[in-house]
Amino acid sequence: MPQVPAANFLARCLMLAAIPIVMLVAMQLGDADISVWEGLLGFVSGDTSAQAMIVGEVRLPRVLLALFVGAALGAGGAAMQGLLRNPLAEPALLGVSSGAALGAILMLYHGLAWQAGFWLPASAMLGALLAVLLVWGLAGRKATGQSLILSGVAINALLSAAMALALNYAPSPFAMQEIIFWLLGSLSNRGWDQLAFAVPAILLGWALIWSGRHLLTGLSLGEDSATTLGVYRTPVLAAILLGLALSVGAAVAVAGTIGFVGLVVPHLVRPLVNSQPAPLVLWSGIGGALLLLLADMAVQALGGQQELRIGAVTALVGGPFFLWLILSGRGRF
Amino acid sequence: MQSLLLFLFALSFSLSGEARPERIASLNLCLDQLLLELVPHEHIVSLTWLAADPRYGNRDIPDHIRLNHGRAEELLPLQPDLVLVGQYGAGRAAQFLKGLGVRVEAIADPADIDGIYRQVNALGELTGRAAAAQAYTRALQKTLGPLKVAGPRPKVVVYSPNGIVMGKGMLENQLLELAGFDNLAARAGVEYVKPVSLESVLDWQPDALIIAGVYPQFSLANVPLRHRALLRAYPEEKRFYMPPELGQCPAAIAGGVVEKLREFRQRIK
Repeated sequence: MPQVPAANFLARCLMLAAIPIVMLVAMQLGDADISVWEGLLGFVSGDTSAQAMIVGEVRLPRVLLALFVGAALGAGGAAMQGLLRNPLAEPALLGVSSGAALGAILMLYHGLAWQAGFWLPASAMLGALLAVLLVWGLAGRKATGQSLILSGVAINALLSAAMALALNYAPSPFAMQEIIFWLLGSLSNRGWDQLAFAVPAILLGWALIWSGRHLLTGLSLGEDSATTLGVYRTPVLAAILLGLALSVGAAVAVAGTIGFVGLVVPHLVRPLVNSQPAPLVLWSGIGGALLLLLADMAVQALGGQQELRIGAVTALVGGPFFLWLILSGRGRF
Repeated sequence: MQSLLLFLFALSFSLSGEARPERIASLNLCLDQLLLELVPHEHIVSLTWLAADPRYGNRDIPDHIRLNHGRAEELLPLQPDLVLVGQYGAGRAAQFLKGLGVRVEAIADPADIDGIYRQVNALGELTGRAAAAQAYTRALQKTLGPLKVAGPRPKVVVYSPNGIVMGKGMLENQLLELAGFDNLAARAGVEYVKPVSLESVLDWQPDALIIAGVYPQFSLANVPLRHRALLRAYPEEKRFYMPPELGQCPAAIAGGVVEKLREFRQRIK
């Protein structure tokens, strides 16, 4: 195993240290001019004053959700790139995002009764799971990277068509507009209920992905070598796919589809872990959390009449940066 | 034979100079309701299909009244002698009917309380039921009337879907003033409507929350209104839900809304 240079170690320490600092700054951002510390103390002691509610019920869950959703997307992206041995892979390729979106549309506009806030993320989550199962089923039980990509593209196209159909027949005239905004992703007005829903699923998903980390390491030698090594087994593949569906599905279910984090973050982090697939998943999670929190801070700082969508911010920042990354490292892929 | 009789009947009225329309049709959701209120039902030939929708009208429509979907070909066979339309909407059908010589009259949608009076009185004039319309506006004036508000004016914010607050120039603001409330958005200088973050609404620290324009059907726009921060800071007894019909036909329910708001003010005092 190659030695990790000291500079990389330092960079990883900085990433970890940045998270609490950025969190503290993020907690200060908002329209209301209040004392965060007093609000937090008030919230912990069960106070329902405006200050306590703003800090405890609006800002804190939003910051935490940005961290968890970002981590799920970053780690999911790293796992996908390792699994498919393709630098362009991201979780959306497995149909996670479009499956979740379809589930959400069906529940939002065709659901029987929309009672608690629980039903929307639950159906989005179910949509994501079904989409991944469908992709996997189509690719064959012992799918190779290529067959997964191909069936992913096919299922994504199918799901997009189903989404368009469901929106066409939606009884609400605003369905189309609303779902477009939802697809751009947002963390605003999210609260503890969304967090309570998403975090267990994200953690379970990570556990499953982590259990299959040897497959990712083996795959870095190629599919044939991984098979020879005995790590390319169906249950391991199933664990990773299910873990992706759970963690990314839960993230999409509460925050909408936020593009680019899963694609860019593994590329940023890869040099820091010497391109080793298993640590890459871990550090991409941390990097994704940091990136999404920063993006959400930009959303709040820029403000404006209409809320700026976080998916637009990540794509605007991520796109050119990704391009630079490709150009500067041309020939490496 | 029947149409001939009708023709003679109409002719006699026009000759006497007091043409009172006998076959009235409406292409507007609110005018539907006002017609049912002010005009004997046998003189109404058609209302919009929404009049029968419990979400909007919530009344029994007599069987002889045909429900239209805002299309000229639905109205023509009914031979209306007066077709009422709102300021907006059903424009194409109205133009078409006008071109065929049908009398089409537009009545402006109200933006404030004076607008409500104007709307009702205009309907009374056009349908020849001015007396009924005046009685209706008098009764409404009496309910809304200049109320001598005694005691404190609770501070409120009107929060509606997509996180929009309502300020000066809105009917909701007028109704709140009449009911003895202090609208913080109006005080902060909001003209008409403005999107405002959840945080700002909490930061204004209103005594109570007025939630407006929420239909029971799901919409993502309503998500900010059900955020836990709002629900915890403003429990059930500190929230007032304005009926969403206020946005469609204030003339029909403004009086009732002000009465309910006054009761709410008593409760939270």
